[in-house]
Amino acid sequence: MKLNEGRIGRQEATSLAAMGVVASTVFYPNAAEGYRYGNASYVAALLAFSMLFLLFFITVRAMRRRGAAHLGAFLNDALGGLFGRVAALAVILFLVISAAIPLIQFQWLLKRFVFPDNLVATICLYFLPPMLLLACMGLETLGRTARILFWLLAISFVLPMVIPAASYETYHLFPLPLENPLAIVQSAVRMTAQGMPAMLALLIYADGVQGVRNAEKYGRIALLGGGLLVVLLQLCISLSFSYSDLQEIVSPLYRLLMLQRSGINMRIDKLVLFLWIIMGLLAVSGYLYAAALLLCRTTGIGDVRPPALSISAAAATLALLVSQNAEWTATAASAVRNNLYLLALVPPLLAAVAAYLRKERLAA
Amino acid sequence: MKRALFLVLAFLLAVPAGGCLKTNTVDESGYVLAIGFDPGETFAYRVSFAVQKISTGSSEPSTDGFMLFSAEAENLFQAIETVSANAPYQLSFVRTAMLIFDQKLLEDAGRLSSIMNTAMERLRIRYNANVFVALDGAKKVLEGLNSQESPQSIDKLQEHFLAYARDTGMLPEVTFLMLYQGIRQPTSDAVIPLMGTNEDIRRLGTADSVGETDYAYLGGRTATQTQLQTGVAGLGLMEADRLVGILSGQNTQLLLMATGDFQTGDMQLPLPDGSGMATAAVRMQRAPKTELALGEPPAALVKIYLEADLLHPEILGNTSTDELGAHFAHLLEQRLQAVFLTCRALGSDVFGFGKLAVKKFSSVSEWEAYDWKARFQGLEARFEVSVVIQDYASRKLFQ
Repeated sequence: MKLNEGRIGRQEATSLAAMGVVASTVFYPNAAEGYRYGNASYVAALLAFSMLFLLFFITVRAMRRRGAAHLGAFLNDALGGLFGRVAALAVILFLVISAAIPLIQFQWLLKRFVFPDNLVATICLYFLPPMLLLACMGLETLGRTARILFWLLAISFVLPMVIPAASYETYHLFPLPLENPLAIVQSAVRMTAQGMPAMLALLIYADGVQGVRNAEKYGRIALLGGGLLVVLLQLCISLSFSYSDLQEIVSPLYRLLMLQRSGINMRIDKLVLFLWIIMGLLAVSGYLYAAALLLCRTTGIGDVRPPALSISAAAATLALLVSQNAEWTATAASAVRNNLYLLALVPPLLAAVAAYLRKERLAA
Repeated sequence: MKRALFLVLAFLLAVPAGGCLKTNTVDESGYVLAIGFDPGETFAYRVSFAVQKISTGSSEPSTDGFMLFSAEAENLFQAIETVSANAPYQLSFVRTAMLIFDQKLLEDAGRLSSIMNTAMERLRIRYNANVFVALDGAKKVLEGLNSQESPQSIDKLQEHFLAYARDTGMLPEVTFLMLYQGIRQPTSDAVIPLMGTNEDIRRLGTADSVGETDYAYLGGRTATQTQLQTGVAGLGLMEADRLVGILSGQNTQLLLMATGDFQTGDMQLPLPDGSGMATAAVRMQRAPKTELALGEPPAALVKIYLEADLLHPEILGNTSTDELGAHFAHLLEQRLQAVFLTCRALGSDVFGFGKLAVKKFSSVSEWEAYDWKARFQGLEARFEVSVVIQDYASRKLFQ
């Protein structure tokens, strides 16, 4: 067997989950639509993390109510055998797509800012193989690596806030984005879905963190810490660029590092990018491992490594396909991105509702 | 744990490996330190490249001034291709520290945007490269920077110009990215520091857009003789992406005081009794305060707080420092008003009043319908300056 992947503690689980929250919400295609009614991204982020916190709380409480040891068991218990499997497959699909999205962003960032004369496929050779390896090595390796690198990677997100501080202007926050509050809510719902894979992955390997009660605690810490960082980053972006610029700018976070006026930080942007990629790979590998684990539990496969390898390959292929920039892939990617929140929110919410409608079961 | 440590090591190894996709020795690339853009005679542009000279005589390569290559082309990339065909190495733009645009080129709307849009990322030019507008053509000012007697390092010149900007307030500090953002935003307009050569002082005169003064400090138009034929002082006023006017170094100081970007600088001001000129070392006492009311027409009040030391306090005579401070404040208010009226007439909101106007709006559609650019033409601004003069006249040497 390879389903019992060992156990990780508070610091490891929290580090891994927080990295997932940050990677998935920060490295996401920049939606021009989100800035149409003003510079609202930091407000939307605040709302999104409040919603994510609530959603996570509802799901975990429902799991505890039904005494489920992990998400796979919970979906099966709350929705029944057939629908539980369908919901589990939907979660797996969501995790694979959620893993591919930051990979696409990293490919694009590397191609645009570091290796403009190289092909995307060549660039991918530098960072996709470690992802396959990590996903196969399992929870313990992922958790410990995340723990060891945590502070180094945290610094890589503090730097984009500190370096351009001299360029911050409060007038960029205006006009206030009060014209269409519904648009802010829509952005917040989308961002909630972006943060979901980290939480779903944590619940999938909840038995690996010594139970759902611990997963709840670690998830809360990761959401608070990661959420605060993301809101601050969005605020820094909003203080640096006007709403009209942000409708056109791709990767505003990376451009924060480019706002430095002079000094010794001339090439720090590229070093920071490599640190972001390391963090993203850890987070993405965590999703892929969780997806493989859920697949094993849903289908009865006894070893997590072959599914982890094939699911990782699927995510890498997806990322490479989208990076080809063909018309059909762009259309498909846009359609998937616009509707991804359904895949993120429906399975856990349906299961939670079903669990609350059913009788409480205290013992796991 | 061992596996985790192994992975950490593998990850960290990837960081230095990222820089070594292809090995190049330092003399295989021609590092372009500055790019100059002029209108072309046959094609749209004449693009000049200041390429670093690298001496490889000793074991350690060292820099030794720069060479100037130029080409006429329809765009920047065509110019690079044609120059590269006649250069002994590939041009690299990762060390570009200065971009210089000819004045006439910038007076045509759309040309600056066109150059910047293409150059921004394709060439990987550093966003903190400094930009200048050349009064006598970009190629000519680059030639003026290239002293034959003493080879200049563009990096050091850039540092010197930045230090000059901070110490005197005669020159704004503007980077490539600041200009790019400045010409696109609807809330205010951008400025570009001026550069010029010393050759044609008599022909070109010493007036800026505000009007003739006794001795306007304008890039290159100063009666100096140094190793460099090119000098810097003053700024170009932009209206969106079009150059609409210029300000002298002295008027640049006033503008920077109003925007809060002034740090310190010397000013020459006439004494109250007209008996001579006082030289004062001026610094900001605190940040300026600007109030804007969006009436019909909109009205602004700018309060500027300055401190000054008289460099020759013995000229004070019977005048008290308070009287002199009030006199200086009145003069500065008049001059600020003249600068503002010039900028308003040119449609250039370089004072940044639009940045305050936008804060009064709670929706994008209201702000866009308000049309700040049109309202700015009717804006009435008032300046209140307070100058506190330090009383050095009654102090002795060691006090």
